[in-house]
Amino acid sequence: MSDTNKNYGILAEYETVDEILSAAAKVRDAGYSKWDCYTPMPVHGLDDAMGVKPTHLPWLTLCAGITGASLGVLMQWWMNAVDYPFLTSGKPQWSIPANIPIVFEMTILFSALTTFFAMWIMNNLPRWFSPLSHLERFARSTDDRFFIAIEASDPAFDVAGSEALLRDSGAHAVEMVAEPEGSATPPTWFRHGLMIGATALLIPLTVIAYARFNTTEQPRIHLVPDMDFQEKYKAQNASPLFEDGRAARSQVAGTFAMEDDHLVLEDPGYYTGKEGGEYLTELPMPVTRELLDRGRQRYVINCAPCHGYDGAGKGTVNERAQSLQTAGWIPPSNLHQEYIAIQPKGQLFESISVGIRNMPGYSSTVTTEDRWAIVAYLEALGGTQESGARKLWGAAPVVEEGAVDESPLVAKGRELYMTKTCVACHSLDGAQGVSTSFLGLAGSERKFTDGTTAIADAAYINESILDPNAKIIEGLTPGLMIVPPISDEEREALVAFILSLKQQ
Amino acid sequence: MANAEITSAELDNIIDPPALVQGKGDLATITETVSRVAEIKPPKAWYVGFALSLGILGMLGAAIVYLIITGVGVWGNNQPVAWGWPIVNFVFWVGIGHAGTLISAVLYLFRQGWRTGINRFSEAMTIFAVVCAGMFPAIHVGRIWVIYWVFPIPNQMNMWPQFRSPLLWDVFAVSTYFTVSLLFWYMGLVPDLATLRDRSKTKIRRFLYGIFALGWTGANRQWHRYERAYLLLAALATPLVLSVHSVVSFDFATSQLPGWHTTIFPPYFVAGAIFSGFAMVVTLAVPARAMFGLRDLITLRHLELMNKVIMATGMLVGYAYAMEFFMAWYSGNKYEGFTFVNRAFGPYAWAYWIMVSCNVISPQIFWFKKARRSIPIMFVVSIFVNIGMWFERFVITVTSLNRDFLPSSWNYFSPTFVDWATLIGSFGLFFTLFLLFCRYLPQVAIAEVKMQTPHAHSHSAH
Repeated sequence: MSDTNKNYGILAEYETVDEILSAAAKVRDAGYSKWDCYTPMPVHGLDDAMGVKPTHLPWLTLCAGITGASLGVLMQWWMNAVDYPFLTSGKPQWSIPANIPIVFEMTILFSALTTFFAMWIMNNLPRWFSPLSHLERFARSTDDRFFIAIEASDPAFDVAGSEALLRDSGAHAVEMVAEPEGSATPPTWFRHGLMIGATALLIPLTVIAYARFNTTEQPRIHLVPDMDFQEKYKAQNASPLFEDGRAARSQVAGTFAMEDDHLVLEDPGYYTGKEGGEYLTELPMPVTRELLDRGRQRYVINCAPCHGYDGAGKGTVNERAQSLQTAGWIPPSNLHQEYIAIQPKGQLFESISVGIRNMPGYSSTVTTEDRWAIVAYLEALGGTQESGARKLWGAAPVVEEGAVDESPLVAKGRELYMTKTCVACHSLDGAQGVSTSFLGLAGSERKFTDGTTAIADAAYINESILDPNAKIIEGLTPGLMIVPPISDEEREALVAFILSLKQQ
Repeated sequence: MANAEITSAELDNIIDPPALVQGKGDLATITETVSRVAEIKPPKAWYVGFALSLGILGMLGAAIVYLIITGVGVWGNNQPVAWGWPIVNFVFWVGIGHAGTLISAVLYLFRQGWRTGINRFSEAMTIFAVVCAGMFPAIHVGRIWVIYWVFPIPNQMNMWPQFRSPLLWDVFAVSTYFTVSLLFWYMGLVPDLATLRDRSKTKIRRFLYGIFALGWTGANRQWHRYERAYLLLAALATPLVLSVHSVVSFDFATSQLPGWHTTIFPPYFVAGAIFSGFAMVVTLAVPARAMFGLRDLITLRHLELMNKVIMATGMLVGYAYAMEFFMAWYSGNKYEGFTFVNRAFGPYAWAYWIMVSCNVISPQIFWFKKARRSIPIMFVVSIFVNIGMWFERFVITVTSLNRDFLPSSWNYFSPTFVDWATLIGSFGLFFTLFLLFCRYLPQVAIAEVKMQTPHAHSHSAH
């Protein structure tokens, strides 16, 4: 046996799991600290026999997971809501649900990478060299033998004592391991190769960095001309694909609209609610008890979620949106408003079929017959409403001629109020809809978001129609009011109409 | 005995199922059986298969070069079927890539010892399948030189990706899945690479295996952290594997297209992925265990258990097919209804019924134990399932698109020769990688299989 200082340690070989378990317990009890068992597979029970404490690795994984999740949230928030805000069909710029998948993937990615690399680092791997690897017998440690090695640097180590301990523990062979003479580093050509490779990896980065901060006068290089020069329609240009240069094609001659596998022209009133350009004023079928019952059932399924069971526009969807104060939410109409109640039946049918404002068309989910049934039911529903103007269903026109003394200009304004869709947001009964009611608007004091106030006179109303966003009344959202094209005379009539609603 | 018809041999089988390691089964034999494959010259069939795969891989390369310099017009994709074969192939491959992680992670958490025989193998399959899958979205963007736009990299346009798009979720899900699968697979390989290193006869083998074995010695303090890390990765990979195909299904489900816009898609896709992945494992394991003499480690019992999984997941996808029709009818939406009638009886009815026969009907034969344990039957069924699952993606993608809302745009999608070359070529890529793996790396997890033998457990403690 050589001098202890030149020894790496001592190695003992065992043949079975039972042998190494009992030997490990003995070495542990003898008070060694710098020693280990070498096995071809994990041996359960060996941690206890050796006294190995549980690793801290799971805590690292947890921290990495939290980091990944936080970074995922921060990255998406900063990139999509702050630095480059994405507007997608009116959805909020920052909404958690749509960002969950990527947060989840980032959490897993960070945890997994950390677990993987931390495990190797904690195990002091990768390592080029093991002092045991030159021993012929030790090669079987990854095959079918079990070993215990005690390092000479262990304070409890002494050549004779340690050897006796291992022999007594049932080792089949015990040998001293000399400090190996081989180099502890990889061969020179390998190290140089790695360095050259790592340097070469910087070349593309350098090229990118150069391109990033330099401009060139040279024309672009077209590597793939097919992709760069395509025959296609571009906005504000003639289409190169058609002789007449039009991109939006008109219908091919002989195209006929179809509905429910029937030609619409067989019975246009029934399928579209219009006959000869005019809305049907009555249902195209007799109103029966069955029709009303069917209409009620379809209404409850398809309409009530927004318009409410009573049709007053207070369905659960609306209530929810209101409670969330969703920006840009256009509330469903109160179906008992005058302008709806007086609509011809065909117009109601058309609105249900093709949709109106932000309400989608229901022709794909509700059959033609059922849509008429809903129209029939709406009339019955209106009849149940008690208060004033709400009993108007079926009693068009609302304003009987001569009932109110109206100048022709004001009467024209009232008509425009209906046809130019003012009615959708501005009520005539003082109720606050999407915007201010016209009842009593004239002559009242308006308070604006900029803190100023003004009396609503003719000039103010005129300006508000011309440029709705010039002054925004407190509590209202800018940009919501869209004025359809109207002439100066029409605007004059509207102003006169609104002024006529001045409260006495 | 209550039932005299049970023979004592069968009873033994119930109480104590056949060992997962057949043959002599001691530690040295296991090492020898697996390592030998990587050390001796492979059988002739390997060379034939490898040459063939390389040739097909070359065809893939040519198809991709042609695609890039010409544009995606060389494919059959056109309005209204803008999502054609590239997406079909992507979902097909990424689905296959689910079995590996499921076997290695989920079955590990459930302590299913039988996974050890097949996990290395199927993890490798997973990684190669995800490589094939990842290729399709990359090449189908047309301008592949700006593919980096899908990553949040600062660029000259000062723009960022749209994180609320399911297509971007896909980028994150698939790349995370590939990374984690690769780490998991490589971590499992390290102790076995050390075995190969220690058995090496030549300097060059010792050097190369040594580099990748990272200096592993099998010290118990290392094993301790290693096992804990393995458990953690399994726990992380399990929700990941479920999320990946769910996210892939979001590509379809979050659109508003009839036939795609359904909430059943995520679980339906995950079940389909497990189904196709297990079938692919059987397809590969059957010839491999014969070719490389691994019958004692990948036993009939392993294959039988996998056939049970195939049958169970096959019925899950069958249920999903039926439920889609039910929902189309129950929604009362006429477009939804039309799409499904068109799917089963329209111009692609042939594809739909191939899908149903392969996926729903063919695995039913596994109700019979004889069929579950018959090598020829399981091989044929697994091929059927692979075909059926490719057609499932074809049916979902193409039949939902080919008859859109405007009858004048209706069109019959046909693949071009470039489509064919890319699909077949992707198999070339897959098998090239897989055959290299079979030749140079341990196909079975040596250390893990050893843990399943009596030699790995203390006998005095019992």
